[in-house]
Amino acid sequence: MRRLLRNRRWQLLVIFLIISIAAVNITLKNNHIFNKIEIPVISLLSPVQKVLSKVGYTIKDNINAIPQFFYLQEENEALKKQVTELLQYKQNFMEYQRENVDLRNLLGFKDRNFQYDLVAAEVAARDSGNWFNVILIDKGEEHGIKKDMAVITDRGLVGYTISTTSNTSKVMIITDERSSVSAMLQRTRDNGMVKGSIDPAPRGYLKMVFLPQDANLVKGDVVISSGLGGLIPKGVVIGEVVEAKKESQNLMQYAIIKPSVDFQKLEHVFVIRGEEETNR
Amino acid sequence: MRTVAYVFVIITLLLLQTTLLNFSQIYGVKPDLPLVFALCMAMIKGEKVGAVTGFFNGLLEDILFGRFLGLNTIVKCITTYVLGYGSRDIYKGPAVLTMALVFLGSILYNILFMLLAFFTNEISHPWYYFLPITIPSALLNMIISPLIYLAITKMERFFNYYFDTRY
Repeated sequence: MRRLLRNRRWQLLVIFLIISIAAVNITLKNNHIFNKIEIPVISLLSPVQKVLSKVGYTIKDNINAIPQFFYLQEENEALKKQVTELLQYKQNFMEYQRENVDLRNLLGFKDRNFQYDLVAAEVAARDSGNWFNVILIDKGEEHGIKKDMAVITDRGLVGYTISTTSNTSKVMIITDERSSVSAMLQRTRDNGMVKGSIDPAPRGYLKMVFLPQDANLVKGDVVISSGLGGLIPKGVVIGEVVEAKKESQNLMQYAIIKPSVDFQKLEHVFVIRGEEETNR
Repeated sequence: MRTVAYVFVIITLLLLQTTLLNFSQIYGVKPDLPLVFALCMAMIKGEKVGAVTGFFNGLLEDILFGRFLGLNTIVKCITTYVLGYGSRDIYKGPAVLTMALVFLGSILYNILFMLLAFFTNEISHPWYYFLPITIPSALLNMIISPLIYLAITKMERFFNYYFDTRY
């Protein structure tokens, strides 16, 4: 043992391990130290990453455009049909909105309209490994972005910011195993917690846990954020139920959720800086 | 000069990995260019150079996408050191051998990553995604390894010719 400890190779290995464990421990507990290290490196590399990402998107778009050319006529017909349907929905929606205002006035409710204070950002880079899902966006503290702000697209929730520098932010995507968001079923208003891809949800899917045993879950049910915890505002679409099952002791239910956002095609996102209440 | 060139290569590979390579994912898994580079460096230039390459590469990854320092740094450094040390006396001529060693190195990297991520509370269900991530990524790394190995040997020949030749 003494001979082993005298060996220079082993001494170096032990020193390296001690320093490494200390680095893990210090940066895990003191976020500001890690922040001081990451700011210069990210600031230096993110502009190059942004350019390379743009090149990648351009190449991908061009490649995708080739097969689409053959389906254009078919797609055009389908889109026309969809536009007609949506116009009908719009008419119905406006009718319901007016009816809602009238009913609220009758009941003496104050009519409230929440609007998000959004900042548009571009995805500059993605996590290099295969275990986690973190993206780097090109807006940061200079644009009013802080840690723990919700990130969305027009389709729904993307995730939330986990750290920021002056011009970039790291965003943890909701499919990351470490992510956890309070949510509810839009139809039944049952509350639960949406977690990243964990057993038995397939990779890229989400698991909604802590659903009451009597919750009436139907395939296709829309899941939205519940606003509990204050991290994600209420009403942001997360995805839809693809499967529902009872937990092993039958006390709770869980659902497998397909996210509404296609994370492979993520290019532009919006960060919610806050909610603005406008009174009518 | 040689060191500066290798640092530049590591940074370039990491930039490619985090940007352009995202478009080449197969079933949600992509090859790990910087890891393959570090493993090949360990095979060609020995465990010490390999470990330093793995360390620097892991450190950059931790800074860019991690929540703390050390996860990738420690795992990549140990993996490359072990592979370099283990393949010391092996003749690495045939491409099949390079591919096999990179495959084993990638498996070792994922095992160590999973364990360290579990002990630092970064993942709570390590075994569930171990096989779906490890096997495809190790296979992808294995496929690209001969190209990177060849590129490093060419670079080495170039550096030897221009920087080490004494007249």
